[in-house]
Amino acid sequence: MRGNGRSCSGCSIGSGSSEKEAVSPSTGSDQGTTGDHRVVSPSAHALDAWVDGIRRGSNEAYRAVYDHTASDLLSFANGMLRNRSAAEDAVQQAFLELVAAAPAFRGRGEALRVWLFKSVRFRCIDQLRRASAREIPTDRVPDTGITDEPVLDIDPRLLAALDELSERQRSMVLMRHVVGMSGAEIAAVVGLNRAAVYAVVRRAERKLRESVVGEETP
Amino acid sequence: MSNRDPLDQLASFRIRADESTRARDLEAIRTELERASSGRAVVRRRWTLGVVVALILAGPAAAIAADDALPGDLLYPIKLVAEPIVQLFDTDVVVEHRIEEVAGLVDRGSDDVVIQQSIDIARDALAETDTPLMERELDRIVDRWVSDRATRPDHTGDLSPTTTQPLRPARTTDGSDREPEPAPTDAPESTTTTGDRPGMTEPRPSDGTTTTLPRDTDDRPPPGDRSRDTP
Repeated sequence: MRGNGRSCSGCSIGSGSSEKEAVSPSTGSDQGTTGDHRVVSPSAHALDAWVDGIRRGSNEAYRAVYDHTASDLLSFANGMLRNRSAAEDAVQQAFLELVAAAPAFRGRGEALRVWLFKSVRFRCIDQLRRASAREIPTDRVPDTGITDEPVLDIDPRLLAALDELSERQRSMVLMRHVVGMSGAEIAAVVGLNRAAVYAVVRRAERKLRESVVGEETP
Repeated sequence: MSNRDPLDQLASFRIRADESTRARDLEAIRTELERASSGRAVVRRRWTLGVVVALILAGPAAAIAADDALPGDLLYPIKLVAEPIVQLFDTDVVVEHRIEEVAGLVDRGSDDVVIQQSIDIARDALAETDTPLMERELDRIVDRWVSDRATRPDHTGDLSPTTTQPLRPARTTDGSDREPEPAPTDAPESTTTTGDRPGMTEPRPSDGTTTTLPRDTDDRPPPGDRSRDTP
């Protein structure tokens, strides 16, 4: 488990860059690596250089960006889909989409990470909707996840409560608690302002906590 | 459990891209990059080919578009530039164009001075070729123009110098100045001559006589005169 540098007890989203650094998976001891490829948080200059390389179609730039973002993207997609192979497919498709869109990409360094998260998020939502459409109605509450692997160390009540959230709420909670993204980053991905992100995430977090510990949660 | 935030459990979703996944994804990216690069190269080649074809077609297209241009039109200079090239294949094209221009200006009701200049230029072109049929065609056009002028509603009979003597030969046969002849006021019937100006006369097939058009009416050079009277 990770220790989040929360700014308040009710809302776990921090707005400052220092808070973001504290929870960044890329700087964690057991996370932020892609296989054996250690990821060091790149400077803004390095990010811009990668973006320039990606616009030019540089294989090295893609490799650097992949190593920097793949684990975060995979984790987020895994949380959305609860299926590792489906998550890997979503991430790969996002990078292939980036190849096609790169010549017209106008953003700077951090915008590339936001772009990738947007792409993965849309792919996950598409998969969830397709899975939901294929699902045969039964008496039990439909599970929109496409789980075929057990998810360890997570309370089933929490998973059920997660399924009850809207796609947008779920994706925002996962970006926050799985990837450790700041409110500003989440706002950029989902297209809301930061205040709206705080409100939506706070409401979703309250629901999730209540599902596990009842009304005791403040 | 009671002191831990239940949401911390969500970190269990966190996974890493293992080496095989990384290798597979990077290979897919590399393949896609190569495909995109070749696709862009194809697009670049197509654009280049399109530009070349457009340039090749632009010249002839402009020449064709300018084919019916008249003096003063925007495309008329293009027509003049293209003429020497077309003349390689059609030696009479210059004369044809000049006569067509006279007809076009008459039909358009252009200024008399402009028409007169065009007639002079057409006669110059005719003088350089042996095209009696075309000369007769020009004469017909001139006749029509004179007739139109005579019947024009605003024709008062007291015309300005420009319109009083509209017909002027491109040159005299003997190269000397001649006394002006009266301008025709009625139907431009040709006057029978003995053909003292070979370039301006034409035997009529019907009666064998030769005719000349009433064009030697003025020796004053109009504006832009291109006659070769001067040595």
